[in-house]
Amino acid sequence: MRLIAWLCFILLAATLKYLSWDFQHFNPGIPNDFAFETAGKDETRAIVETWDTSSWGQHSVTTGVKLFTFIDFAYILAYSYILVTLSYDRMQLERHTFLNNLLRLCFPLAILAGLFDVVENILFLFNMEHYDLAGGYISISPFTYTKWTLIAIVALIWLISKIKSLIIR
Amino acid sequence: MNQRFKSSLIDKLLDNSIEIDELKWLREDIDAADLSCIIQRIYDLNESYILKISAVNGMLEKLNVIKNKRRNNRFFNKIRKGFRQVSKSDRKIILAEGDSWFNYPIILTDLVDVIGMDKDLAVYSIASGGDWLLNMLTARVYVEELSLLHPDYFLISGGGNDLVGSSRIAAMLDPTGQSNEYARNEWAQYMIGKVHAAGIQLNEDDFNEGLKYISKDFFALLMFFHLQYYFLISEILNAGNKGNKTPKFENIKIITQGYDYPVPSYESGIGVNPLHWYVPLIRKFQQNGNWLKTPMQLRGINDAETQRKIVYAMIFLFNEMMIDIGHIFTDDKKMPGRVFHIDARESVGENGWTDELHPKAEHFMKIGRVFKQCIKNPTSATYQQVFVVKEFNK
Repeated sequence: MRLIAWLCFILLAATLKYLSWDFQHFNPGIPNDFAFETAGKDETRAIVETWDTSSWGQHSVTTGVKLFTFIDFAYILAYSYILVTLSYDRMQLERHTFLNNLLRLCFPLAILAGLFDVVENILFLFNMEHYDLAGGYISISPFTYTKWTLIAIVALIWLISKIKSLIIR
Repeated sequence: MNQRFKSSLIDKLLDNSIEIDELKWLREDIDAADLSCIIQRIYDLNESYILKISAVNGMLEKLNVIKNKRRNNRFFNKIRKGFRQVSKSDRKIILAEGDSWFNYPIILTDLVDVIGMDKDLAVYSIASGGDWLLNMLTARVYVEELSLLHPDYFLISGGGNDLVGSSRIAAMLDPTGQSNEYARNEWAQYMIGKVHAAGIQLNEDDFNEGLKYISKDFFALLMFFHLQYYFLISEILNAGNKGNKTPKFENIKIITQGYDYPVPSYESGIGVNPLHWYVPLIRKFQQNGNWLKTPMQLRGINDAETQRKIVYAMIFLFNEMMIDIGHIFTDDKKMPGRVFHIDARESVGENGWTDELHPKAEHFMKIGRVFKQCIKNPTSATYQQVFVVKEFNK
């Protein structure tokens, strides 16, 4: 199960990385997905219009970004699972009670980060379709920042646990 | 011992009227067939059906296997790096057989997890969440592993599921509150006499109140546990000892544990501490109350305080039974320093439970550290061969 998750994770990450690179390859300097996630209403409109008018092979970049987002849904599943299992493995090595409990807390934090990412992707697709309609824009950035904050917390807990284990053997 | 006499002793055990000397005679002569006969009569079911209801299967079995596989990979990684060396006596090989206190397959850090964190301890686990002591002794997986590993320590945790699995606890109760089975059991009174003599803390009011609701089937089961553990430990310590040869596992030490007092409850466990996020989840998933509360209500015992006192009396006696086993091997069998007991009573506390039967992770860790203390320094017991968890965590 873990092996499958890791294979999926690597494969999907490589695919997403390749797509990002390919968008830039065809259109150097074109705004990426992160710029879109953190953009305000006017910037959103500008980015979508740029994507609509830029080509990605025989398609527009907009089509490519949609494909990117759908692949990202699968990637979310894979990375959430991996974050949980890595936290679990670290937890089973952690002798300090409080840190052990914090590593256990990483399970729901990782799942929550994944859920925020799902919401982010749904809003991403929504904004791409409706940015020019009245009420057709919903800010994604709160979800993006919350997701990254959760992931940062998880990484910080791992780091503290790892450093502690190197100091106190 | 002739078979007719043995049968009469078994009858007396099941009737809760066996005397201490008779129990001693019986345990010296007990074999697997006798144990099978006793359990069929206690549960009033045939052996194949008992084994069927006690079997660990489905998702739980799969999760148990996954967890043990990961632990045992870690064990072999240590072995491959040259862990076992005659010159390094502080390094210990441990074989763990038991139930969910030794293998809680998800979320929690259980006792074996804690012991396995120590760089000087390599733990091989055959424990399974949900397993019955009966299954462990019937499957005898530990026999093969003992021969292969020649461990320094054998850890065993069992009996909890035999008591509460499949709502069996309901059959151990006397809802009238008029039971005098304790007064009929000379051996149980002898154990409590030793408790008084040693000044061990016992809440007499709760204990006596709880005893009023405990039927003779519980005492029969308790004596059955006594016979099972005696059979198991004797078999390990005396393996290959026929004809005064050196025992096969000459230096092996055995550690038992006897749980803490759980709280029968339907509570959802929802609270504000984010570190205990898993408590309501597990309680919901396990349908909290199914192990203790519902079977008691099934027999018409609805008062929460009475339920708590019944469990108090049962767990107190269970621990004393285990401690008594240690005494037998130390005093009667002249095998001092071979059998130890981790006494976790009053270490978890009323609010320290994940569900009805399992402590929160921090309490598992606390108890696990006392196991490590016992393994690394077996002479540091609280008294005799007993390590009292609450004394080590003051």
